[in-house]
Amino acid sequence: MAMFKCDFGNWINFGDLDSDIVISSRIRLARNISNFVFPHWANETQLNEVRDFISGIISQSDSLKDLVLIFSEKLVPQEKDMLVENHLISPAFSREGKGQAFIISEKIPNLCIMVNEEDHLRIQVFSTGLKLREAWKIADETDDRLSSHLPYAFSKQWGYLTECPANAGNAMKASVVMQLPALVINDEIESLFSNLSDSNVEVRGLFGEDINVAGDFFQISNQSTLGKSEDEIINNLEVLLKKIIERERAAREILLKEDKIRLLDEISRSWGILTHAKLISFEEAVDHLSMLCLGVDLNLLSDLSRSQITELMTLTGPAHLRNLMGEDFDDDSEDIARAELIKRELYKLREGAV
Amino acid sequence: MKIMFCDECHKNISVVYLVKVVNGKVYKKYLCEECAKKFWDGILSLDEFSKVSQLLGEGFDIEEGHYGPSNLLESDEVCPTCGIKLSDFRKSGRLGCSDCYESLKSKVSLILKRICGDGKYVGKIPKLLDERVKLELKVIELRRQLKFYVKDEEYEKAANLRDEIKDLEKQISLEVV
Repeated sequence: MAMFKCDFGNWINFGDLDSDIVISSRIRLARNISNFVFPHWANETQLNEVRDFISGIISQSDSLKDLVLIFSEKLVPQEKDMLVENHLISPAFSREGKGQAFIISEKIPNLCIMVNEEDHLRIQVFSTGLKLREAWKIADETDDRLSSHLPYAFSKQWGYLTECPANAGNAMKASVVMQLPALVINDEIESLFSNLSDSNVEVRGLFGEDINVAGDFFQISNQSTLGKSEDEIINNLEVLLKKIIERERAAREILLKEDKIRLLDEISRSWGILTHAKLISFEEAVDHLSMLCLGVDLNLLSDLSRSQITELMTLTGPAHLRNLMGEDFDDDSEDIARAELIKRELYKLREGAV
Repeated sequence: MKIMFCDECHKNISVVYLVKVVNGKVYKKYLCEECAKKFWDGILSLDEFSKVSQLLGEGFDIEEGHYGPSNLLESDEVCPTCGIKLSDFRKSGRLGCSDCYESLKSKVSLILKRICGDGKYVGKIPKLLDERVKLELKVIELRRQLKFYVKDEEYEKAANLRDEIKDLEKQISLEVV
């Protein structure tokens, strides 16, 4: 497991502490190699051919020397689960595995390229905070390095050709994870998201599929990419995100002004549950840790930092917990281990309560 | 745009959007061709159903962003490179290879136009691409930019850009020769 204990797996935890609303940014580019069948229809031999072709090009090219290709079948399921919990690979990618691989870089810790997921290549760059532009720059450079050697499927009319035609165009997905607790508490979130439905963006929960997600985390991304440049897409998304940030800040101020005691009560209850529970599920832990984040942001909780809390959030994911404890466990023992870990860590981080 | 899967079988892509009003309450359902047939069976015979489908024809085809035509009599096109049929694509929403964009063009271009209008490709260009295609795409991008300059009444910049476009077009015609 040592491989993923480096910066690579832990991109969520480093970076700026100011990012209290936009937790992280990601740029993903979908690319396919011409003359190879798309992954969904390819048999195992065909998938292996694509993978070997990419692997061969990477090992022969000096300008791609920093890239390391890892075959999926070389990883145990638990290692894949950890990558999923770090939001580095998709759950579907971790389940299938045949002919798949991913590429990491020795120079760029926040880069992870999936091979044979929905498309032959999905170049992903992650960053903390609202840094779509920085992530795009790295993705763009990496893509240029690859496209100097790999013959991409591309058409003058439709741009980068993808397995699902809805993704064709410049085939870039720019997404951010936002934490919007005050808008959730004030019941503004649904009206906000329904107003977004015309603006070429997609919203979904970070944990789970539903809109009512654990921890008030939402993933917001662009939709179609044909007819707009990458810069335009990022600009439009940033304008929209800034509006959402303003609304969340306004909602937080209203809460502080009008309902401070209720807010303090909620945060204290979360603290109480996290430091006293004997059994706690991942979803419940995320919910309450998210409340502590809000407490830190509003200066209602001293001594704790947001990065410490988000780190704890990552550590309490099922796969991370198993890795930490070095054992497999059933549901109850998992919830017991989680409760103990959170209690111990929180007391270590801070003496006393709210 | 999201591809909607069938609310009944959750497997196929929906081609029909059914709205039913019962006692003032609105029920909405996205259905695939097969499940839609089951729903329709009680009301219309298969023959009548295909007549309705035909009647709705292309207009219904890409309505509300749904794939597939509901036209039961249409012939099944095949991509000669990878062997994927139009019906495979309709069921899965996934193309077989990059050549499908050409060989199944009739349907793929309808979908892409539905999503993005008549927008031309704008964005980065792969490094290994043919020089001439690169120049052509550059001209498209510059023409777009030109429109913005004219709109913002930045005529000096527009004039410079127009000259640049002319130069590029000259280069392109030389490449052809």
